[in-house]
Amino acid sequence: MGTLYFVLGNLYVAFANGDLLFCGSVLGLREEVAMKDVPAVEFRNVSKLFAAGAKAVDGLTLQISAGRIVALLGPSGCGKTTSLRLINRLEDATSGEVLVRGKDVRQERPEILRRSIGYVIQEGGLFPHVNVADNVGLAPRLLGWNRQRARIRVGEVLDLVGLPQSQFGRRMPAELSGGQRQRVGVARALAADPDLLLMDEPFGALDPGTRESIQDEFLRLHARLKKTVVIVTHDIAEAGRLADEIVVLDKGRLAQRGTLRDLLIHPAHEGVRAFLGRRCQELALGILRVDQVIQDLPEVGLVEPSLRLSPDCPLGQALVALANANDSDSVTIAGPHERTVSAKDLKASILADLKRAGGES
Amino acid sequence: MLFASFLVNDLASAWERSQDTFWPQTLLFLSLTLRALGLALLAGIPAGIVLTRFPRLANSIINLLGVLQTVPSLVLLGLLIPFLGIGQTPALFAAAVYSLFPIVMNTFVGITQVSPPVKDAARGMGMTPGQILWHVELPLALPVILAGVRTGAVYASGLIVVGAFIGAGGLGDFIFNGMSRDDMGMIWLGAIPVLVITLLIFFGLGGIAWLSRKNSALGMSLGGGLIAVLSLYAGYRLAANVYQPRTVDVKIGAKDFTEGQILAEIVKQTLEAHTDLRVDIVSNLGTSVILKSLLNGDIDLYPEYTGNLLTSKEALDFPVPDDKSTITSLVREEMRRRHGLILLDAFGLNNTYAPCVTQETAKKYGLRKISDLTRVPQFRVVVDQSFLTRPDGWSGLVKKYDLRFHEPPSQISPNLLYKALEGNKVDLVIGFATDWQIQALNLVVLEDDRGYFPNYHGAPLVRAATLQRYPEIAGVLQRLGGRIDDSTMRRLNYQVAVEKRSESDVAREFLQSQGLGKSR
Repeated sequence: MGTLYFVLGNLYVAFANGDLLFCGSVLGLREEVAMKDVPAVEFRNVSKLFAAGAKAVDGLTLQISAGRIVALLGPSGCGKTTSLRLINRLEDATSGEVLVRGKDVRQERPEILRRSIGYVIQEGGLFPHVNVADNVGLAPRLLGWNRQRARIRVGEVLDLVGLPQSQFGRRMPAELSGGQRQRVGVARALAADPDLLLMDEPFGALDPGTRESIQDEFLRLHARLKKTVVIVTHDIAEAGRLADEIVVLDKGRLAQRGTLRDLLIHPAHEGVRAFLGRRCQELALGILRVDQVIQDLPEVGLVEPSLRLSPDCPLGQALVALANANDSDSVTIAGPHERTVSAKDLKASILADLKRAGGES
Repeated sequence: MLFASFLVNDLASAWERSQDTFWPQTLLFLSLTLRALGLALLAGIPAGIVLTRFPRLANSIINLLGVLQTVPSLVLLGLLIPFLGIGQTPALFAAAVYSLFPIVMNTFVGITQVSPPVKDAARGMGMTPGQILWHVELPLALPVILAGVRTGAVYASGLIVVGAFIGAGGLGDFIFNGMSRDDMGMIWLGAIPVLVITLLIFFGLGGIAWLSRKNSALGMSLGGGLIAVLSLYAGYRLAANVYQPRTVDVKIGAKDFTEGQILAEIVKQTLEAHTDLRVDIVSNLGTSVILKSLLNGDIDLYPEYTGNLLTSKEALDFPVPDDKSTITSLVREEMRRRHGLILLDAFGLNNTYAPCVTQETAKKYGLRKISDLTRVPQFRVVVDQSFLTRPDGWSGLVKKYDLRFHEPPSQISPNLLYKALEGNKVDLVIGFATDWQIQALNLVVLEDDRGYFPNYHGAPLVRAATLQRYPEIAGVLQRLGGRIDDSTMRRLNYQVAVEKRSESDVAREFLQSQGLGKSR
């Protein structure tokens, strides 16, 4: 086994270096490997000054890997929306470079670039004067798809977001609920099948219940489609729930980058802590998942477990489940990487996180 | 009730007299209104769109259009005459300028008020500025634009009515004729269809705007289609006008009062009877407009009065000579020399100014001559509008006779002069010698004992160029020389003004009585 890995590893290095160029039959493979290597989006020391002289983005350097959901998080005016709009050239950088799929965004006409990137804004930004099907069908039509193909695609993406075309296609945006409008917005962004999706506070206008269900739906969708998603939000709970990785911006600069747990437990500096405010423990209880705190815990081995928890069980719920457990009990965290740890260790680990999230070190 | 029955009677009588012209004039009015609106759309919507791209410019341009709006319509028409002449073109242009303001304004506002997230989404999905304009901004602005079109349509129809004043024709002709003859029926005959048509346009556009506001596809296509059709129609007609073949050989101007129109009609029918020329009348031209139109070549001839030409600034600007018998030949010579205009043989009438008082007043104060008026400074005087500013008008008169009235004279439209006298509202009226009222009311005309007024002999004034092209005109019109004296003219005026007969009937009957009518 070990040898095989070694050979494959060497092959990979060789591919990556372009040493195997003669091997024509695997060139396609090399391309794919190379593509995986290129970040979907990259900021290189990007600054954006507005006419008034305010620096909305200040020397931002950032790479976003393909296939991941990355949240840009921060208070109003931190530059998160501007950063997002720099990606599809709704704004142009004053200095520095923005790259999409390894290519400087200024190399193409902005319209061509934008047609290859999905864009979702609050309430979907639907055109109020055309029906749902036409709203969704516009992006493929802009790409020059014929009517037939575009129509089929509209049906597909509307199904994808749970709004069957037969029922919703002919409705006007005003006849939909906020959640439905938002879903149409997502469907529209997906219609041209872009590999990159930009979302600006997409679920901000929805009531909490609707927001959570549409977030869950979005995660299921993402699990199937595997697009790169950059999402702007000021809601840390949303960022924690949706994103693989959170980028906190403060006054146009990158303040911290990491998982929700990293932010809650090790805020990089006062700016981040101030933004998180007093809700850290609450957020840790409600959003941090049990599988995020068990990495460092020792495996207990083959003991009959007295408790089973799902890996995405929030810490708060886990604490309740553990409340009546004895120190000798063990807990199995189910899922593909199933592990069993001692209840005592787990409880201690959760409490330690909560303490740190509360500001105690 | 009494008013209503008067209205119905007047209207019925006016209808009887104008049946032949009513539908053509109505159609012309409608067509002119829609064409003016179309021109305004053709210019206004693109202008509104362009302004959205230069928002800083927008304010000043829209303000400028707003200022144009405040220029009184008659002034605007007058200002356009030196550039566009008279007739339909300047009227169309002025009406288009008037309706431009709401159209530009609403196009601008309609587009700028499209919600920023929607525009943002459109840009974000990769629509080009042109696609955003066509597929997002214009459809969303359409209800607002249509509201502007609606307002513009009302402005346009109003201005087209006034356009009759510079010879554009249409329903305004009825209104102005009615006003100059104090003929209520005729005024209503013009005003009612104007009102009906304007309301129909107003509510029709309102309905379409309402439909489009509801995002109905029907409303959108109706609204957009209507704008397109109107613009295309106006553009087509404008182009067609430019390349229009000449269908009229001689255009005769008619002044905007009864006598001017009767004389024009007599000249027209005489030419038609004795030449093969195609002749048309451009009616309702104001005194200030008509000479300019002749000089421009918008018209070929019109009946004028010698005294007007002698004294007016635009014509000769001469003082009144001591020997008045020389005036006609002096005017004829100088008009030819200076302006290339030929004064043909005079009709015979001398329509001079006639200061009138009632028999009663004349007896009470012993008034016979103008110089007697120095004894009655308390008199209230009424003159027609132009008299105050004319060189042969009021200021010269009071200076010549050393008159000192306590109150300045009031101005009134010529046809209402005698009404004021009848009601004893005033004591003295400066009327005209050929006014039928002088006879009908048995008024005393005060003698011009110091010879202040020149002669006002009526005669056709023709462009030399026209005479060169159609030399037969001079010979034919010669036959009218001396045929219409003051009392004949008064009778003809009476027939039109009081008996409510049409000018063409009156002219025909007169020419037949003179043996000048069409030989059958």
